[in-house]
Amino acid sequence: MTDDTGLSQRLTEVARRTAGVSAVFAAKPAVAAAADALAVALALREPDVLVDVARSEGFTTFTVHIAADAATPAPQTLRAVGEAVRDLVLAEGAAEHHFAVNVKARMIEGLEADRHD
Amino acid sequence: MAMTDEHAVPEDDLDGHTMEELADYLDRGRTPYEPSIERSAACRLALDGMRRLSQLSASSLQQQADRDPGRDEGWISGLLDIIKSEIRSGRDVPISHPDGALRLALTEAAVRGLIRRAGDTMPGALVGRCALEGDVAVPGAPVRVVVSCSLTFGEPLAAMADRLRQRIAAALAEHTELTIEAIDVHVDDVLPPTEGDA
Repeated sequence: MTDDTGLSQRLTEVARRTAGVSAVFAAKPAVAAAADALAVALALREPDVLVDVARSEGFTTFTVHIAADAATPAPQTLRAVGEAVRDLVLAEGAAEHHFAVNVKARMIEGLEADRHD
Repeated sequence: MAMTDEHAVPEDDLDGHTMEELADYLDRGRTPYEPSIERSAACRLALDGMRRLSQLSASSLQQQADRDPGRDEGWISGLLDIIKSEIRSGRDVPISHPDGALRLALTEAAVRGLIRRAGDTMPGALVGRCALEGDVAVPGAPVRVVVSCSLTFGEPLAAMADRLRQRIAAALAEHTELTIEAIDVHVDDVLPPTEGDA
């Protein structure tokens, strides 16, 4: 477990609560995610730590993977998640220009039949 | 949904699950809740495609199966292969933001899924293969969408293809920032009409 577990958990919650988000997925590569799954099984880690926090040489990258609800334009949802994550990161003391926020929509769900007719 | 043995092979793309497991999970009404499936984007994309295919099986494919059972099985298997091949994330399709610290994108799989839904939710249409041609990772670069589809017999095919093209264009305009140069619709099969299409 790293010191960023709590931060990741808060960022996961912020992303999940953003309008237009229908799900938050684990952003880590499969191998790392498998290790995390083991950690969860061993009660070493909470299951809702889905935002990846990667620190390297004074720069931090936050990566969020979501499913977007089709009722809201996906660009609007992506921007809202990015801004919410950025705002929380800044509120928790991160220095501007020393981090990046990557938000990726892995799928768009819930497109209604005949919506575009 | 009947599955063939080839779909039982575990695949990395499905985060450790198989198409057969997903089909069983879908048949159980996605209960009990399985976190390792529901928290996987690839699994949810596959479930989405299988659910629509399953709904189709209950309507027009059933009629077709009555006439030609061998063709039905092969066609479903082919569509499952397409669903499997399209769950890979693929390229990033960027979304702009004035703050350079924010890097936003849709995966190519999400865009293909969007196109597939826009088509499959149109009465009388079923999307087969779907491809994005062009450099989708470069903002403003011209992109050509190529889809194959099956349409229900009865309405003029050209009019249905136009309607499908319009639906895909509207969905892409709403959910992406792609510059769509053209949407090519290839009708590769004609389905018998069902009561739901009337």
